[in-house]
Amino acid sequence: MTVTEPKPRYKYVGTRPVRHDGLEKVTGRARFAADLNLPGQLHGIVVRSPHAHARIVSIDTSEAEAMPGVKAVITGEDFPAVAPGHRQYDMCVNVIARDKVFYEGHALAAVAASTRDQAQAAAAAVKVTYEVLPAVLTIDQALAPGAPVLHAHMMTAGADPPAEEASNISNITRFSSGTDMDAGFAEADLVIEREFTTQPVHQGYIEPHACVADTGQDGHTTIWCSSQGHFNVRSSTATLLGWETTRIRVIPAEIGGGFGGKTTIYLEPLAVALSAKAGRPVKMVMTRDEVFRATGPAPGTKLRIKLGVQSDGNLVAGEAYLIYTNGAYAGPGGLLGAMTVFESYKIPHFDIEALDVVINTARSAAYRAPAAPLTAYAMETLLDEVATELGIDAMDLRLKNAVAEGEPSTMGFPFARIGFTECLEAVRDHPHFTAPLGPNQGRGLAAGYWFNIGESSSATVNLNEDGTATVVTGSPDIGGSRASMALMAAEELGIDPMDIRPVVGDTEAVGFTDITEGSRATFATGMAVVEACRKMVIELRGRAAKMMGADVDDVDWVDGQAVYTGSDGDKDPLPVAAICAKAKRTGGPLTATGSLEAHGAGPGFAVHLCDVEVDPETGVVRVVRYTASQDAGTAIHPSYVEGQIQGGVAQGVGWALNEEYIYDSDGVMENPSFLDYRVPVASDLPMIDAIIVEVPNPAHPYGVRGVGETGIVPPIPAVANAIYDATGCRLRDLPMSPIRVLEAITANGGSNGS
Amino acid sequence: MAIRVHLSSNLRGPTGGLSEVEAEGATVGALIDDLDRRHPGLGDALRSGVSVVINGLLIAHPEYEPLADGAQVYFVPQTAGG
Repeated sequence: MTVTEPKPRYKYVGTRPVRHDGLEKVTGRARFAADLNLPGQLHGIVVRSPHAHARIVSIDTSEAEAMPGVKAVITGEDFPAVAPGHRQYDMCVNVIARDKVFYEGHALAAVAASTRDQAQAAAAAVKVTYEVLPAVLTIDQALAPGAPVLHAHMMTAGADPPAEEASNISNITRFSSGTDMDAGFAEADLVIEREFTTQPVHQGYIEPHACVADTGQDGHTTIWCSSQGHFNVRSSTATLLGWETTRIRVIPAEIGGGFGGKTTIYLEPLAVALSAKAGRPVKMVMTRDEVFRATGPAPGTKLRIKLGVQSDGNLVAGEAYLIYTNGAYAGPGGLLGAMTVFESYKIPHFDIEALDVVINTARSAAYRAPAAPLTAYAMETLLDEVATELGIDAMDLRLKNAVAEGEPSTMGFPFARIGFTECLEAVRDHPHFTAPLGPNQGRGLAAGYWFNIGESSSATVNLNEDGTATVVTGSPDIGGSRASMALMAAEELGIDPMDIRPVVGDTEAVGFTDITEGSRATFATGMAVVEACRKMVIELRGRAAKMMGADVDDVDWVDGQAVYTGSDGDKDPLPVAAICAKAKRTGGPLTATGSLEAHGAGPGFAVHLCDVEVDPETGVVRVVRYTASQDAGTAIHPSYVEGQIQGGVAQGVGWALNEEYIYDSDGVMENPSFLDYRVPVASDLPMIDAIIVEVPNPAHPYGVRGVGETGIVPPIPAVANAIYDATGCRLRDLPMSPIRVLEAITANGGSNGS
Repeated sequence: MAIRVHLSSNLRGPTGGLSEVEAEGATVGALIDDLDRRHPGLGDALRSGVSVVINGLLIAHPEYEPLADGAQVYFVPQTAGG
């Protein structure tokens, strides 16, 4: 761990206790949504489109409804009509199609039956008549003159002049320095322009989407589900059904991975509608095939970047033209790409244009630091090429141009305290940086940036009769946040973290809490926990003052006990357990809440160093050593910060080397299984050495920055740069699969050259 | 109460390309109202999908955020996350 400045001496924050949910997870006792079974439960199956683009002419459910065991069949007509312009139109018609299907796997009906086999048979008996439409499957097809327009209402936002006709471009984003770009590039001694392509990839969570819904005759429903935000499940389900929010209770199950892909919903409104129609609980569990075909891949892209650099390494100008596919509906990929592409470096002249494009593939969903890994792939490999061309060390080039506190971001605002330079220095000073390489091996360096976000969080702290505590929050624990909540509460209250039970409360047990996304749980929900604990300490001091017969101003809270500081003689300190034991006599139960909209999320930076070994005969790339530094602000539980870094690296390496959606010419996905869609497994990766850099975020009581996303930003360019170092080949198309690597080596004459 | 307003480049259309303008308001909401009076159309652009940075603090929903005289307010696109 690299600590960059003095920080308070914490008793619990920064320690590594075993996570509270650890035993249940490793023994298989933790209950995920698919583990739940209710009496009388039915099984729901979704009817999905076999076509990538088609008009729904008719849906005949009569045969399916008459089949054995079938209790309910629903289609889009069972939901309130929605029209373009509705606040959540895309989400609504993605969950269940109305007049058109926009990708293979698009849901258009659902069946509930006594057994899963019966439901599957009935789903197959739903007769759908389609008018098949030409499918738009690539960026080039979407932008071609005369291309079929997916959405007749899609007028390009951000177009200048305003769009007058519908197109497949949902949004155009432009950022610029407002300076003379020609003059900027004229200042450069070296100008390099390169193009890159990437394919959609899936978040690859191990647990498929799953839920159980039980709708009673009183019109209220309870949903158990796997999600990154059960309050969002509630509000989205209410929107789709046209119900009041209070009719829906959502109980969060444990989550088996989300990575952004479970920030939206797919099954829950269908399960509720089926349950309401059948009068029985309905369980729905996606197959892996459905997960791939119908849930959120990250966007594919075409990227072009041009850099102007002076001979001493000073970046003076940058142009970026970025195109992101967001699947069948509008998405933020281009916007986020534009906001990240040049954000890490001082570039006085810049001009960025980004397009968001729709095509006939599944609607994109967030994936860890959405869009940023792809702009980093382009920018960081281009920087590597600049370093090579100018004969400058790749680390020195980055150190020279790295943004620091007070310098303007691409958006114009000055950065607050950030730790980019510290992350670079941490890797530079690590033994890995100068370790010798073996035959066919190469080393790549890359950096990454992510904003992180705040949003709303709530927490309740209850002290028990014996002085132990329960901390209830509304943030699903997708990366160890129970442990971080307990540690912050322990630090505030002076209670051992193992005497604190961190609980993820359902939508009726705790105040509204936004989705666990944007690396915000430990930052924002942690702030709510701290707020609740500080209120609790005020209450405890008051109770102790009553018991001591003292003025509350003469009672401090020190290390878990009330300490008298007045001048009226000595009084014994009162531990928290003693105060809890007399709570009935001093004012009743000890409970406190915190709820806030968190401001001041601190940006995260990461720097990665990757060694690969390339088999020159097969093109297979093996990652043999990996070191990753990241600014965590303050690591509340270092083990889970390291875990987040390592997880980001593992996913990024998969994105770099193997992962891609493959479609046939009709838009049918050809590799919807983990056999054909290759994610890295433990044996594919070396131990990933995580260096935690701590440059505290001044906006958080403990200095926390989000850590969940930034770690996936640098791996793709780190791997690409390592492959170049090993082979002399620049690979500018993802994935860098064996066939691509081998083709590049062959085209390059077999070995080093450029 | 004079406030210095900085606009990210995608928000500068209504100001004729100006990156910095001056306006008044005791809160960010009032500031946006004044900006819309001075630069018609800017209010719509700033009322949704936009965050502010004030004194280094990123604020996603700033409508009622109080402003001190001489404050520097940066309007930037709202971000998302996974």
